Amino acid sequence: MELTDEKVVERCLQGDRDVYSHLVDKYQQMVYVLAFRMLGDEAAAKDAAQESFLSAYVSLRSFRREAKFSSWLTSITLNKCRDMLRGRKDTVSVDDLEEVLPGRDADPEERFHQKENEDLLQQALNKLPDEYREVIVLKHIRGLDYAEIAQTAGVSEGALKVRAWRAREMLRFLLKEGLGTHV
Amino acid sequence: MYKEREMLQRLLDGELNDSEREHMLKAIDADPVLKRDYEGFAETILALEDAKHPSAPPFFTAEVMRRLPEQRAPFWKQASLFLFRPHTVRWNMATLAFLLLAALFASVFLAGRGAVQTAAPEQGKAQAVMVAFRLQAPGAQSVALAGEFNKWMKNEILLTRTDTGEWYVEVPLRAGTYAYMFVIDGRTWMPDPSADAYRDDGFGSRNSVRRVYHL
Repeated sequence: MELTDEKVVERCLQGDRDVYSHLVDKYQQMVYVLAFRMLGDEAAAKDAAQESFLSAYVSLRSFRREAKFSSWLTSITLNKCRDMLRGRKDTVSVDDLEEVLPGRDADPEERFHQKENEDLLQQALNKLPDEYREVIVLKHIRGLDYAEIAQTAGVSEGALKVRAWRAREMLRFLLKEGLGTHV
Repeated sequence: MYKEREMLQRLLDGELNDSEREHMLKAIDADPVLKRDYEGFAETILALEDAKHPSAPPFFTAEVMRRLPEQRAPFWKQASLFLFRPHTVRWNMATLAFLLLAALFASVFLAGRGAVQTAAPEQGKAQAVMVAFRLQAPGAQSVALAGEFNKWMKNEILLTRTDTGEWYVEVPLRAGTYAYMFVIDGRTWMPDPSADAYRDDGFGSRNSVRRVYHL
């Protein structure tokens, strides 16, 4: 018999701690990728992903069953990433867009070598303001629609669409700069 | 211009209806700048959606499980563990002496209570009085009495037929008010025509009521 998320949650609430590993196994990749794309750093992503699973476990009693467990877990992960990003000094706010948009790498040759070895997509994502990165990651990497993102991120659909459009414009520009092609 | 860009983004999100979509695609074909933008955005989205993601670190689940806090089991589970798990009991002579004394006191106390409890029914019985129930039913083959005093058992208290065709029984009852019915031939429930009172039975009929007083 298949062990559904709801049954696992129920058994955890009855004191069966070990059964939680089913949920960790099932969602670790989803949570880790979300954290990695938000934070741009494997070590930080691992921390955020683990903390998300721990927070979810501790808060299982407050999990309302009208939402899917995966949506709830996504929301927890997003909040963990937001907390970690707040602690960083080099994040870019929406107000600083003008500074972000022009390519800042002065030396084209250096940039050429860098792009060969690094994940350019992630670099471009890292340069987006947190709010923009959030919507782009949830929409195009996590694969949620705007209604689901609104529920997960706690932002209206209208605001999300505007953020997504602007984020795509920035990302297109950043990738074009990074790749040196006419994207 | 702004409207065009908004339409372009909505096209990329798949939010345009058929006619809007057709109109937009024609506009894109006709405008090289718009076409370049559209293709650029489409490639950007493709880069995101086709990106290769890193895998979760090895032993991820094991690490999470190791860090999980111990969850307090529900009360029933704790109680079950306490009752059925083997326990080690340590004792000394003082504890043994205390337990023996406690057992002695308990047996003396219970013996005393037992004496009182056995006396109580006698006292209660003394207060019971014999209450007569009568029914004129010459055609009946059997008549039984059922009521609150015998949990409405319809075959327990049987009445005896007299020479006059009257059915009769005496039942010991303590002071109080009791609802009851006669059961004719084991199936027909009938109220007592000479009852002290009647009370709704909750099923659309009425029970007879008998009041018993102290002598």
